[in-house]
Amino acid sequence: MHGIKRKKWTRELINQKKIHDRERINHYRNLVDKALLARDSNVYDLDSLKQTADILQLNPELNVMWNYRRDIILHIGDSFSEEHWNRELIFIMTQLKRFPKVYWIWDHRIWTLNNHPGSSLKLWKAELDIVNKLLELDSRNYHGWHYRRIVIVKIQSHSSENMSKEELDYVTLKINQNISNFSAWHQRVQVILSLIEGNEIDEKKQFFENEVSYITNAMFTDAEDQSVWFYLKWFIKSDVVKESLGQKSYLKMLESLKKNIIAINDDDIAFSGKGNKRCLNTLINIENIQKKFNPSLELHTKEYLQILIEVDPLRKNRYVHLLSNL
Amino acid sequence: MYNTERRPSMAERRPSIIASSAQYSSSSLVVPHLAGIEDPLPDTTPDKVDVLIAGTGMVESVLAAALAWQGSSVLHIDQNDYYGDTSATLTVDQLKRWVSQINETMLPCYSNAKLYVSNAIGNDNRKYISRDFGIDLSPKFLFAKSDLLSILVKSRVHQYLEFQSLSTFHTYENDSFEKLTNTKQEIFTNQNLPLMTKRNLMRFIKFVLDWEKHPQIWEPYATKSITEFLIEKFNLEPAQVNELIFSIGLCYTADTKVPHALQRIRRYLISFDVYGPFPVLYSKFGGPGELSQGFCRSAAVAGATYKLNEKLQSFDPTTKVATFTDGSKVMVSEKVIMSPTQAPRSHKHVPKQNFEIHRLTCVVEKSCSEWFTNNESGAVIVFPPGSLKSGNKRVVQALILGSGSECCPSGTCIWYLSTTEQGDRAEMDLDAALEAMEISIIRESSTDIVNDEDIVQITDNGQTVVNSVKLGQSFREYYPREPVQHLLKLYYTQHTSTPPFDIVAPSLFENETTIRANKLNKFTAEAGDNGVMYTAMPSTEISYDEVVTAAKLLYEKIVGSDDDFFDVDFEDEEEMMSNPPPAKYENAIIDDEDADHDMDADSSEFVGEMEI
Amino acid sequence: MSNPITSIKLVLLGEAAVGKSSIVLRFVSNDFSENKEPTIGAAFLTQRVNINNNTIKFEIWDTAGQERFASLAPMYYRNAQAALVVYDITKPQSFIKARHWVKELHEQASKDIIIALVGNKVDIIENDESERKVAREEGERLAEEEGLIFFETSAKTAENVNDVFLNIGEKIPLKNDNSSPNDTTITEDQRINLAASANATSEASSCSC
Repeated sequence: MHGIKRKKWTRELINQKKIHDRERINHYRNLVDKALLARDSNVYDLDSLKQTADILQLNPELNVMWNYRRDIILHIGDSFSEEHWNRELIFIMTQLKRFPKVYWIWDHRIWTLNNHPGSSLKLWKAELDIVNKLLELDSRNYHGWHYRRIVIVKIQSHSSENMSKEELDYVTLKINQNISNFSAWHQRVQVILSLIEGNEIDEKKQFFENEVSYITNAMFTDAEDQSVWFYLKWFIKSDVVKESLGQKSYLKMLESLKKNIIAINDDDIAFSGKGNKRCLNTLINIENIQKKFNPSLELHTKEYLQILIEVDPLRKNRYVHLLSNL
Repeated sequence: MYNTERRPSMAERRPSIIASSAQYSSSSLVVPHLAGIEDPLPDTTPDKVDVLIAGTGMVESVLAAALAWQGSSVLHIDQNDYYGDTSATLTVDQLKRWVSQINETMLPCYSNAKLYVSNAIGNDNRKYISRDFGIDLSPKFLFAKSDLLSILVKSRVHQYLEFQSLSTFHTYENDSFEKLTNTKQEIFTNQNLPLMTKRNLMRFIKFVLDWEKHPQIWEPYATKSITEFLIEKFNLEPAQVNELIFSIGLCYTADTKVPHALQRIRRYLISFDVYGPFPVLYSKFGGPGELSQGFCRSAAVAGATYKLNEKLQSFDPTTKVATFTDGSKVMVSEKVIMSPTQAPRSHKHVPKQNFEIHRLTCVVEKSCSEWFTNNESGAVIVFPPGSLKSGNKRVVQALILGSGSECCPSGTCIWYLSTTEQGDRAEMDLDAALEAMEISIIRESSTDIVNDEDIVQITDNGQTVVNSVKLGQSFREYYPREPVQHLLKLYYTQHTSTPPFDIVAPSLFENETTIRANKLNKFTAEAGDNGVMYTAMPSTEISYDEVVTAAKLLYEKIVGSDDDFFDVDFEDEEEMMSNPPPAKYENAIIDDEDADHDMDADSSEFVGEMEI
Repeated sequence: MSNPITSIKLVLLGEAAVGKSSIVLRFVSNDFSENKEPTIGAAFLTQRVNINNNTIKFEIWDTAGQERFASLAPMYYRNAQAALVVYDITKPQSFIKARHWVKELHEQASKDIIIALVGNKVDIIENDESERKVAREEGERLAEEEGLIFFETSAKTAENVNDVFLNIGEKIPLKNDNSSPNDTTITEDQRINLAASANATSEASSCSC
């Protein structure tokens, strides 16, 4: 942790620590043994609940304890009051703050919210605020984004409102703040699919044309960023996009993207003498699509692959393989 | 090359301090005593000190604190009755006295001072009071990532000060102030930038962050101008080139050499987002004047003696006795360090001050909040070469501080303009920049029109019509110009030996005469400053970047090495609070030797948790 | 929920050897304060005190000797919300000096500064009343004229020492007191804390959910 001075590990300190650690380990083992014994004897009360909390604070990865905890709560039944449920949420939140990357805790939070006797809509909406705060602190936290999707689905199912439009605004804001946000671009895909599926977009053609300028803008702002290209790859291959634009506009869009990507690649060659591997890979992808529509199209794939062997030596064998398949 | 003999550290030289402080803290760290809490201090100046420093400017104050914490006994004097010397923050009354000192040629290194003070400022029954103003003699701001900032934190001097953010940098172009586009977010979302420009700008920003690692890109241009480099190598447009060189890089001319300019552009960009979305900070209540006071207090806490209103009459390098104008004397066992402004009347060795900095400081009766962002109270405006009516060849830089800085009363604003132009041209450039600023602030603050009702009117039948006057520049033609009310206007020329943004060289501190004199042990007869080491006058640099370098070089000359420059390790409450001790469970780390203990799958998790 | 902490900058003034520092040391090392260990930092001494369920953090500034040659910086008085002007009741000269410091404070410091006038060393006159050279009434009169808190103390026996600080603490507008128009209270949240960079801050300030 920042700022804490490192102790010098003298032999004596190490020995002290070993003794100390051994005590802790024994303590932890005793706790676990006791709890498992209680579970096997079907003990389901507030005391055993407290025991599981003690253990989970030491080791949140011990999923068997989360399972036991849920069993206890269900067995206690109605006498597990709303106040108890609220305290459970607070307990989980303190755990999440300490161990933000432990799946079991996130799972337990969803379970708790699902079983909480309070108003589901209110609970899940409050949860959305929490996720927003979380993503403000760490906008690229994968767990956060994943959980956000679950929360949105829950709110929608409890309120029958489609939140995709607001969600698109949120994602756009997050990408604007940092275009290298892989999770946000990924969420953008999900949101757009959901918008189309829910028939929420009136002017689909216009919508996707705007999307093309958004991508182009991002591409020019940072052509080294992987997430933009990842999104672009989905976009050009997506049936939804193809159908919404219509074949003619779709092909036109591919051509215009291609032109811009070539411009970026040429610019890179002019600057550093080297082609841009992300541009070249995308150009190959575009040609692959184009040739399905126009078999007589003059292809540059071979040329691109030959350059890629030079500029992307890590994937050399892959390019050699592709080249031999042409 | 340098004296390799290291002086004993503070702990070695003054063991009593450690012993006496031990009763307050069991920590093995060096815990300072609070002066006065130990013993009553003597009422007279000490008979003997290690170092005598004259002048309480920025460099001298940082040096005094560094030496005092190192364990040297320091007597720090100033001929003025206030702290700061060349870096002082003055009230209007103090400023009047300072100007007359210059004009009576009693103050070397300054010339051509002209001061106008409006009747509205006075002491009794006036609209504004003299001491409501804090005017900096050499205004500066602090980059969020800089050596001085680290020292402020390390020395805890930052606890005496309050800092505010400054995020607005305007570049004056085509008669208007353009706000900078310099973050990735701004570049991405800016609708007006052409796509290729975005790309080129981003490429340059990425490059410049670690430019030294990419010599293949810049070395072919090493001796060329930054303008050439940006246009040829990065295909940047004139607007971006101007912003990068003059606003972000704060260079003075378009032909600044590439490495110089890159280092300065980088300085701005790496400072961004260190404490928030802004590159620089300034201290409330005044800039260098306030910081000097902070370092002087720090030096005093470490045991340095302070005496204002004290001036050196002469120093005898043979007997090592310094005599003051009030007749008192002190033995100086090591060095006398002196600002050129504090030189004894019979000085003969003050280094030549070959460079001029022309300054124009105005207090206007306007809040100028139009130039600030959100809750801020400061802005920087840069006038690139050729942007002014005067046909300026060099940049004019302006630092704007509003009343939120507590340097001036509400409804007023201080404008600090400066240029490195030499001679008569300089004042013409400053006047032209001032005029451009006045026109702009009148245009932007015209209250009559800012009111929405004047632009959008609702007719009797409820329809909205837009008034024929358009927003934007045409205001200027439409509205009669009311002049900006000046409460104070001050021109002066400051002289310095430091060339515009040259790196402070050790040679600056020892003029040739002194070196020769020391070698031959012969001194100029009747000179009061034989054997005195002069500090450099503040350079034209608008950031504090030269201060630490200069103080360190002096420190090394005195102590023999700069290894322990501010090598103090304080443990105080703030730190304890922000670093709560780790929870007990975290000690459950498993050592390698403990592998025979067969922990379940959990063990790895515990090890991982140590790294939170 | 714990109460917000109100920070108070308190400056010490008085002639040399009147016991300024002893009073502070007595205060910070006394049982009555929350944590016994005072923090002697590089900048100033801090001590937390609980008064009526509110936590007050005194930031006590020593003159560091800079007052000796009339060389106190404006920074010393700036934003000080409280001042201790100390004199020695056995030394009339120190009382004259105290008058001077009160005057200086009225000129230099903020208008609503709380000043405590402290006549120290009452332990000396316990056995011999003739040692007293400054009458209690004289101190009281000055305090009344100038609107000061007044105490006679002994740093040696701790007599009245805590009362001085408690009295100051009770007169300070608290941070959570919304009705207070006083904005000179140091509100730490408005300052940019140079010791914590933006990244470190966001790590530390976890969401309050």
